[in-house]
Amino acid sequence: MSNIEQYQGNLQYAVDIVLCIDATGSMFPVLDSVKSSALQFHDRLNDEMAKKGKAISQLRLKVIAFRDFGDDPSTAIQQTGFLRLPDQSKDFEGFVRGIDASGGGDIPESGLEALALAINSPWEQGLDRRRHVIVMFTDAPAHPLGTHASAPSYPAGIPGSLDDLFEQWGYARSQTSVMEQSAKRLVLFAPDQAPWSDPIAEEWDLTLHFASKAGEGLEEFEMDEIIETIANSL
Amino acid sequence: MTGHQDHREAPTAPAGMLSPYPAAPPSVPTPCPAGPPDPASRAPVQPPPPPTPASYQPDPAPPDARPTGTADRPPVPQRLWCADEEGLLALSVWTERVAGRGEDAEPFVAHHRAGLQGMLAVFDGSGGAGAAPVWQASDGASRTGAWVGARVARLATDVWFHDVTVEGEEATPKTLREYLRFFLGYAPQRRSKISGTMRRQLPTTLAGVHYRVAGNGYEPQVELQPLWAGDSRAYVLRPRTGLRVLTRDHTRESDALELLRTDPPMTNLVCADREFEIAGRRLAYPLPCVLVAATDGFFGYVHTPADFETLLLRTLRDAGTVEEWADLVRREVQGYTADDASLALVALGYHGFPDLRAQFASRHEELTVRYVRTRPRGLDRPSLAADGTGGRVTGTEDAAGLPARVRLWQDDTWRAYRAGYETDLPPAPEEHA
Repeated sequence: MSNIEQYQGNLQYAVDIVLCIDATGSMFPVLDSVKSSALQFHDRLNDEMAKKGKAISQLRLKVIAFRDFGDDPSTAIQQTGFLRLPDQSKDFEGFVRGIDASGGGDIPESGLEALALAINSPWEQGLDRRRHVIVMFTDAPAHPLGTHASAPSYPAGIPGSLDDLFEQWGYARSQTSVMEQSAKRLVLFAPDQAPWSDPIAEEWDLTLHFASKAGEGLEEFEMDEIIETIANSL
Repeated sequence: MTGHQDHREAPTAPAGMLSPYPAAPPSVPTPCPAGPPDPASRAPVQPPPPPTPASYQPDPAPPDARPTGTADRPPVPQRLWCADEEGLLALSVWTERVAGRGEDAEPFVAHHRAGLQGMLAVFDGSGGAGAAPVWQASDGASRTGAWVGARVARLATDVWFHDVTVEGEEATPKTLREYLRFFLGYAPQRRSKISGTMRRQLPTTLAGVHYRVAGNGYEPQVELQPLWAGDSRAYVLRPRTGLRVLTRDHTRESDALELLRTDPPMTNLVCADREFEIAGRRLAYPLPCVLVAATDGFFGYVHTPADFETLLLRTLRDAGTVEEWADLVRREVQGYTADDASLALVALGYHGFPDLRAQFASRHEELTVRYVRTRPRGLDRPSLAADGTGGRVTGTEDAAGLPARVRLWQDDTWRAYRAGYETDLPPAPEEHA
């Protein structure tokens, strides 16, 4: 989009979305649905924004597929960089379609590591009216941060505790936030269990939580309402 | 005063309120909300249409509307209302960005002649926090929590103002909050699977001004009480001092230009499921003066904060009557906004519309010189251009440098405009949420 077009429509929205997808074996029954939702997410968001007369000047997506560092560190995190859509749609679709539900070991997964990577993403810092949205799809609770920090492929810079991750997410008058307060949103499709419901959904600001039953509830999520809620919040 | 015929059992109303109250959902607004239903005692009377001046070309069909009989696309909903009588001019404008999906309630404007007091207010249902459908209208249309919240807040404000004027209710932010909580408690809600700190039941902004004409015949003045929650705003507009904001957005950012650029989330708004605050303060201004309340569809999509005042005064200059002014304001805002937009305006103490227009002529010229003629080329749509070219960039101009030039111009104009605009900006409150 040219600079001219940006200004002909007055203020437009530069939207970055990071999709964190639980790719462990327990997600097998619903992973196709999650992938389908992920693949449709940007089109539906665009449609919803258009219905509201709002325009997106730039849309970028990043995908983080996660499993469990305690089970197989080598496959615990797979991720893309930010992909600009529609130009890099094929790269985005190729990565999402290639995600297989496998592994995971015990019930908790490394979802908080994925969330930490998402929070620390290279978000857009230019343009006007930025929106930085993290969407988490999981059917499981999460291991405490640092539980498997000694694993060889464990990412550098991951906070050592949930409190430290909260500091990175930020709050009113926070000095440690790495997220832009006016831009950030966190959307959780996750069980009504710690850490997702409490403390994250209840205490972190700018969260939406679509509670599901472990291993089955993700089939029930109401995508229309989710997309409309995100579009309305932009 | 608002049709309380339902005598089903109801919880105790706030002190001083009529009781019992209906448990029914809010009704769809009427086309011309002149405020309370008793025109003889409270509402200004809409005059017959006066002659049309040469500067105003009536446009019965809005830009996005089709003529009657063409049903392939419904017209964009819009409603105007106005009043013109000695010492009191009033108008309201309400538009939806997309037909049937708007979440602003219609503006509330009421003036109590005997009590020499009035109220104007706007309500912007917050779709981000209240996207879930909570109510189905009799025509089958599904309405979101934001839609319902805005309209229930309007109803509560209407009843509050009635009780302030007639029942002796105290006109304070606290009592208005009690009325809002009471009515929201009766409004339809739906238990949602969605939770989280962004989520609210029936969320809406509210910004208004309760005013009372006071003073003596030699030094008449108006005592004001701006009342607000969220990021809709109230203003006072006077010829010498221009537009002054009376409310401080409930956001962590307070710089109006930065608010334009970032559109941050609200930290406080009216809702049914959490605590909220109605902020308020008391001020007094000499008459004549103009009071304005507007949702962010008006001021949140301009290029620099001065643009909103320029819009009001440019359309005032071009209109021959209050009705035409309202229509021009409607047409202008529909040309640039990306949101629903609603505005309420009351002008007190002017000797008719020509007097009002004449008193603001020099202020409009000043704004034009400072903030319109300095605009970077390529910034504007044709309707806002000052030089008649539409402001479009030609192929030889530096298109790549436009964002930087716009940003510099925004910074410069905001620096010049800010001191006057923020003269009556309330001090920062303690953090909410």
